[in-house]
Amino acid sequence: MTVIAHAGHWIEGGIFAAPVVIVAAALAVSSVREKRRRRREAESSDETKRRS
Amino acid sequence: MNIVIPFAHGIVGKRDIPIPDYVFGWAAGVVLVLSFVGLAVLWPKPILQPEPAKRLCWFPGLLVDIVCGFVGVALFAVVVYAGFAGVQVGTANLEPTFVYVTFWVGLAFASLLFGNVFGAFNPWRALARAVAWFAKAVSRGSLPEPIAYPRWLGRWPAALGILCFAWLELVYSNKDDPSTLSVLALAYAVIQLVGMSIYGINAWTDRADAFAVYFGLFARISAFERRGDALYVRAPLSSLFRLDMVPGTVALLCVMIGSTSFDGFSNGVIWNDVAPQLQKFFVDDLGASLNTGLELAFTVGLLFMILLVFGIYRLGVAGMRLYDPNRSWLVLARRFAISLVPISLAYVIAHYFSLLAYQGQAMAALASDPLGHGSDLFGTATVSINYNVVSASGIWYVQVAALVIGHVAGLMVAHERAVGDYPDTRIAVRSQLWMLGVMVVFTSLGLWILSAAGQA
Repeated sequence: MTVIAHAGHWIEGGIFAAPVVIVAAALAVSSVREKRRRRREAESSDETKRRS
Repeated sequence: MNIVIPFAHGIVGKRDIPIPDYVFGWAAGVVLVLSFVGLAVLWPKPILQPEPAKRLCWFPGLLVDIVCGFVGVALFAVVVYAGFAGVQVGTANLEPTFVYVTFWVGLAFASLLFGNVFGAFNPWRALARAVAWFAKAVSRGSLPEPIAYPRWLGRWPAALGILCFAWLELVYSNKDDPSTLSVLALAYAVIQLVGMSIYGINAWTDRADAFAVYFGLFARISAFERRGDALYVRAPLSSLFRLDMVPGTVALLCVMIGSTSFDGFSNGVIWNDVAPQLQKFFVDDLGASLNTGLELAFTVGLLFMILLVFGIYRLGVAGMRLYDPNRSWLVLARRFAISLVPISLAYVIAHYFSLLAYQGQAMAALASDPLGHGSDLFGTATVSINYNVVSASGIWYVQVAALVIGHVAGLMVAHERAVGDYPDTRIAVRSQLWMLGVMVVFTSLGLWILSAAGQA
């Protein structure tokens, strides 16, 4: 297939995407942390309500 | 006349740069991350939203409106006439070069440098204002009030108009035909005049006139603005925060970025692989002619690129909601869409700078011989294009600089919006992590497309 015949150009496109991959990984990590932080906050506020 | 193939964006020669193209992409990513950190540390409060502006001088507003309006209508008439009466060869007739280079590209650059230039020269607006003035004088001020422009319609007509123009420029096989362009220009003018007569001149021009909206958005980046009879200088980008985010604005910006991206992408090797297969599908499986099959393939490519741009922005907004779950994605998408305006202009500069630098010179010859009949009105009919005006390497540097500066500007706008919206600076900065991601994706995509187009 001609699409595969020019695989080199697709690979070069992949090299261009390196910063995107790094930023995407950083965003994924920060999102997971944010979700955990929110969960912890929600749990601690529930705990406070129960005690009061 | 010595004019070469028109609108050949890729004719920039061979670059002589010792560094691989992808290194520029990586460096651009680093610049964006450093800019993000700099903004987070040094920009804790809104700076642009009060829109600092300083009065420069008096401006003869009415005189400029009349003179520029007259020039705009006269130019429109000349260009349309050239399309009908001139030779039906795209390279020898004034109209295709005027429409695709001087008007479409040149005015985008002019809007950045001088402000809303098109607003002064807009021919259909000038015509409508002249007719309204005359009708008012004849009827002694008893003209009926225009109907209120529907809010739900927003900038959807402008988005559709830009999409149609992009389709004409990038897909339609007969795009260089002067008489076809003249018919379309007249049809567009009629639609504008009807729209303005129903909804009012300003309401229609501000939202539905595709070109007025398009150039008006770029003019908001400029440092210059006319307010009544005075000329003001303001902080660049600051006028973007006054933009009312009516429905259709996000779609318009995605069309603007997506269509320019597709222009570059369609000149690259990958599209040259994919397009024939799509064409084959339309020809073999759906029975389209070869030409229609190719146009359908390019239409699919154009729409795909616009949807891709929308998808990237949508993803960024979805990420932002993590930090602002109380607002819907649509509210956030509209709120932060102004950050796409500098990106759109950066894409225009990066993709069309070579076109303006080379093909723009053809206007000297075409102005002297607009119909292609051999006239020499200004003594410039034999002026040829100087391809040494800027080197291929020079064009690449301009493209990289435009993309990096445009995306840093986009990041600044998004950050300014965030620090204005969120009282807690930490939340503002965190919410913009996703916009940083959007900017890095758009920068890498833009540089990859330009690099691939340069190698094709």
